[in-house]
Order: sequence, then C-alpha cells, then structure tokens
Amino acid sequence: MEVSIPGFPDGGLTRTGTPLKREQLQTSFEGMFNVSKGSDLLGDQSSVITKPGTVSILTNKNAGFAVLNAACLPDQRVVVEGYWQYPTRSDAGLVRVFVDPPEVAQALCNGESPAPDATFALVGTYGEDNDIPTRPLELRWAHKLKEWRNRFYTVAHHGACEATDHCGVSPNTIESIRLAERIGSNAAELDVRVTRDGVPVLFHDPTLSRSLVRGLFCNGAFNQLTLAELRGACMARYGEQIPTLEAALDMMINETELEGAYLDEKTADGVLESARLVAYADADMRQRNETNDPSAKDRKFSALIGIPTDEVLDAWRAAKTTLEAEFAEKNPEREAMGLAPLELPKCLLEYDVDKVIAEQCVAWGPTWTAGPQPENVQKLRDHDIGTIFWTINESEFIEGFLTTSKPDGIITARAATLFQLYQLVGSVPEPRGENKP
Amino acid sequence: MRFGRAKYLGLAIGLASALALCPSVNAAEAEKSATLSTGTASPAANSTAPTARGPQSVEEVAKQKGFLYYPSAPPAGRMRFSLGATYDAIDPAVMYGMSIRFPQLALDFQDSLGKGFLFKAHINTMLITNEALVGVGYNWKGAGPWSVGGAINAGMFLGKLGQLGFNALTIGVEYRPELTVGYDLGDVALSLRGSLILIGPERARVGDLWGGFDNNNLFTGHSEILYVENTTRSGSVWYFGAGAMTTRAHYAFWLLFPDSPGLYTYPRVVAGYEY
Repeated sequence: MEVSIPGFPDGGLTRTGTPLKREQLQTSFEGMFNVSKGSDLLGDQSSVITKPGTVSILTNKNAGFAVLNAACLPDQRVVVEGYWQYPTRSDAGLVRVFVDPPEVAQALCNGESPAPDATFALVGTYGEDNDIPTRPLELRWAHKLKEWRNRFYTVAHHGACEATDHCGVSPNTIESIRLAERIGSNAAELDVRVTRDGVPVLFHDPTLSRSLVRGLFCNGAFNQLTLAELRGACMARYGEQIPTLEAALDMMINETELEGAYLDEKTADGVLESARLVAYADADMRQRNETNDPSAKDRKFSALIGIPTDEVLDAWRAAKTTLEAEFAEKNPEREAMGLAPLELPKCLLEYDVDKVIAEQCVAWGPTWTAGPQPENVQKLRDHDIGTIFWTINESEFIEGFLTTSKPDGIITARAATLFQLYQLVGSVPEPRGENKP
Repeated sequence: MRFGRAKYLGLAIGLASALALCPSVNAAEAEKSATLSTGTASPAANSTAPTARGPQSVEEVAKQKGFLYYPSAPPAGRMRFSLGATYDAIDPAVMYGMSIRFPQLALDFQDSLGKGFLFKAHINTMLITNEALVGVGYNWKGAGPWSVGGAINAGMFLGKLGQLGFNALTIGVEYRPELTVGYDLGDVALSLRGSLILIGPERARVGDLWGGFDNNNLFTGHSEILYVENTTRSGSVWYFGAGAMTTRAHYAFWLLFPDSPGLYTYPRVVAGYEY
C-alpha cells in the first residue's frame, strides 16, 4: 500500500521562520477551539494539543488530525502549517493558518507565551492532497482542555494506526509511536515477541505475514529468526526497521513526552528480558529526575508488563523471582556508584479481576468486547487499580465507555477521536498509585 | 499480495472443483464421440432422456427439482434442499492477525412457484456469525444451453458470542440482489453468479451497551462465484464453487476487526450436496 503524506512543495513558510519554543506552544495554543470555518473538515469543535515542535488539531470527525509546525516569520506573523489526514480513508491535504490577533503573534515572536483567550484564533486555509490550500479554515479558542496529562490515558494501539489504515506508518515501529504522540496519544500499547536469540522486539503476529512485513526472504515463524536475520530479511510494511523493545523504550523516554507504554507480551519467553529492560529504563528515569538532570524535566514514564494469559502470568511470577535476586545483588553496587536502585516493573493484567488484585498489578486491561463492566472498574478503583480498555475504535462505543465506566484510559487506533470525546464527555479520573496526592 | 497463503488454499480448492468437473465433461465428450462414430445418439447426448448408466442430464434435473445455482424453472411445488460448506480465505490483516477462519455451514432451500418463479431461503452460519436470507427469484431458459436468473433476497446478518472475552452481539438487515448466468454442459451445469451485498442499518451490543459503527455503509460488498453442479443418477446434485468476495472488513469478520471502511477482496470456495 502506497501512502503519500502531503507537503508544501517549497517546504512551506515555516522554512523561512523561527520555530516557537516548546513552552510557548503549550501555554499559548492548547485548548478546545470552535471551528467557525472549515467544519466540513474538523466538525464544530476541535482540540488543539502541542508536542515538542508540533501543534496538533484533533477531531472526532473521521478520526481526523492535523500535524502542524509553528514558526515566527520575519514580518512578525506566526504561521502554523502542515498536513491533515483521515487515517481510515485516503483523504489528506495541507493546512496553513496564522495566529490572530496580530498582537498575540507579535508577543510570540518576542519570545512571550501569552495565555489564550476568546480573541485567540487560527485563521487560514486548508486543501486536498498536495494542492496549495484555498478553503477557509478558522478555529477560535473556546476554553482550556480538560486535565489529561498523567490522568487519562489515550493509548495508541501498537502505534498510531491499524495495519489497514492510510497513515503511512507501520504498527509497532518507532515511526508509528512518534506519530501516535502527535495525534493525541500519551501512551502506547506495543506488542512484544522475542527473536530466536532472545531479543525482545516489537511485533504482533506469530508469523511474518505479508500484512505486516515486506522482504523477499521474510517468511515463516517470527521466533525462528535471530535479530540479525530479521533485520537482514524483513522490513515493516512501510519500509521501517522492526525495532527492538530497548530501542523503542529509549526513544519513547528520550524523544517524546509519552507517559507510558503497555507491553503486550505475546509469549511467555519474552517476559523476563522485557521486565529487565523496563527496570533499567525506570531506574534511569528516576536517576535523572532525582539528580535534576535537565534532560529529564521531571519526566514521568512508566512501562507496564502486560499479561494476557496464565502462561504469561507464570512467566511474570518467575521473572519477578529472578529479578528480585538479581537486583538484590546489583543494587548495593549501583548505590555505591550513585545510581538509582533497580525495582521490579509494574504489571497490567488483561483478564481476571481478582488476579489483578492478587498479583498487585497497577491496572486491568479488559477487552471492550465484553462490555463496559462498570462494577468491575469500580471494584478495582476501590483497590487503587486503574482500568484501561482495549481496543475501542468506534466513536459511539468510545463515548459509551467514557460515560458508563469512566475508565483511566482506552487503547485505540483512533487517538484523535478518543482525545476529542474525552474532552467533550469524559470524566477526569482520580489520580492513582504514586500520582495520588 | 494481499492474500498470503490463504490464496493458495483457495486456488487449490478451486482446482479441486475444476477436477470434479472433468470426469463429467469427459463423459459428455465421450458420448459426443460415440455419437459421431456410430451415427446414433447415445442416451446422454439426448439430454431429455434419462441416462440408464450415468447421471441425469441437466435439462432433466432442471425440469424436476431444479438447481440451486443453474437457473432453472421446475414445476410449481418442487422443492430443493441443500447442505454445504463455505470457506473464505480472508487476509489476516482484515482478520486482525488471526490466520484461521472456520468454514461456514451453508443451508439452502428452494421452492418453485411455477413459471420460472422461485421462493428461496439461505443460511450461512459459523455459529458466531450467521446470515439468514429469504427471497424470490425468476429464472429464464432460452433455446440452447444458456439460462439466466435473477433474485432479490433480504434477511438478517447476525453475530453473537458470549465466550472468549466476548459478550457481544451485532445485528444488521441484509439485502442481496443477485444475477446468475448458467450454461448446460450435458450432465454438468456451469453458473456464474454475481451478488450485491447491502447491509444496513447495523447495530452492535457489548455488555449492556449498544452502539453503531463509524464506517457503516449500505454498500457492503459484492461477490462473483463460479459454480459447477454435477448431476447424479438419482437427480441429486453435487456442487462446487470458487470465486471472489469483495467486502468491507466487518462483513468478513462480523465485529469490526479492524474498523477500516475499505473493501477487501478474498477467495471464497463452496461445496455441497443438493437433495
């Protein structure tokens, strides 16, 4: 499947401007906007969120999103431009809007971060495909966004999109995780399998199916290839490298603002090594926060070991025993070196509510196909355990789950829809665990 | 390629269908040869006469109970039952990583209303997914081996599963107009049937929560299947078929895995016995 992401032929106006700072984007652009022109594209209301370097417009209309860059131009205007896309369709195009009123743009160009009010607007045009945009688009700031960072989890289902979507990225790749963050996710569900030489890698299927990979000699069972053989023979569907779990965690921690990962352990043999990698990543994160490392910026990130079956649960129990012994041996040495101690990672159990409690997991991850189950969600809430449903892509059901059982998060391939519906009808979950005040 | 290994399974079963046709075709050819060499028409070559040794002719069966697929116009009140199996070799991408789909049981009933009109009933079931249709058809047989039939069917597309992490039900109203062109090969009938699959409205329930689907579309797909119907001495019929289904994902796998609005083409093979 070929997908082209639209782009301005000359690189766009942002090429000639000065990018706005991260703090400016977050303070001045985020909010719920009324769409006064361009509701054909975005519906009547859209959420605007920001990530390092990007401003994203999210709508529940066709799960649409726009990923834009913002820059101050030499004439003191602020341009926000990029592309929009409906991921389940092949519809996409360009967007170019300017910050209005001009005084706000000038303040941004002067390095200030003015708080938005009802006068703040993004005014410009949008178009189809690579055509220079000509159709009017106007979004006017309405109110602040409902609290969501570290509170409600919009979890990207194995990255940004389904394998059959038109996002131009493959599931379970670095590229799809990066896109996921830009289209409204603050966590990612990732599928973990191990190669023949024991390396945890992100991959969904037990076989190297054509729907997920390309490569003339990329065939057979996934676990029959070493990492080197896998890298030599296979690429993900859109040509990306199939990433190791270690590389994905490193990227998520250091190059994104994602707050969590849910590692769906597809086989029992990957649990120990996955848990070990997560423990080291967690310790590194704590270390950087405790030492006020500016690269951490009080970063919160937690990877959960996902347990879908009793077989994986047995492997998780065994891994805990192994790692407890291993960490007891290593931690004095780490302490002497001034390093944060290694701790067992947290778990998310997908099926039995009572086992979630017994195993002291921090979250329950039931399938949506069994229904909202509000009584089970509340039972776990009473034990300070969160609930994250997988995988709801239909907007009517997303809305129903948000209002019926009020979960802590939902796994979805329609992050823009979920984010927007959470903002419109969702309830802010009470903080849990270590986040509890 | 979209189909992966499943495509080869479909091709293999299609080939098996073709092989099933061969003995009958060869038998018909042998009869024709005998006619040419002796100058005397054999019973099989005279397609209206019952064959003493071999299967009945298509024309004769058409005038008795008729066929399920080959457009025929049996006398009023003649009924035909059939029991068969259907297998769709669906792309794992549509199946959301699942590489196996179970065959479906196919049950058909046909009652002639006379003058070419038929009442039809059809059930395709995999237990968790069920398609039940009733309809009326009209068949027309001209001079020569060709015949044409059309039908309009309506019914339910219903899926229910309360196990394996599911407490789910989906239900939709289905309409299926179809057109069939048949060709008489003596004691074998070939029929090409094209169907439009229209579903709507469609609703689903998970737990106690009802909802609809973002990508609902009345036009759910179409199919083109080539059927081979082999007559027997008793007037019953073996049928085999192979062809292409082009549908949206939720038709192929009933509960939107995934929710793509795209159309997917996959092979379908069928086989069964008409009583």
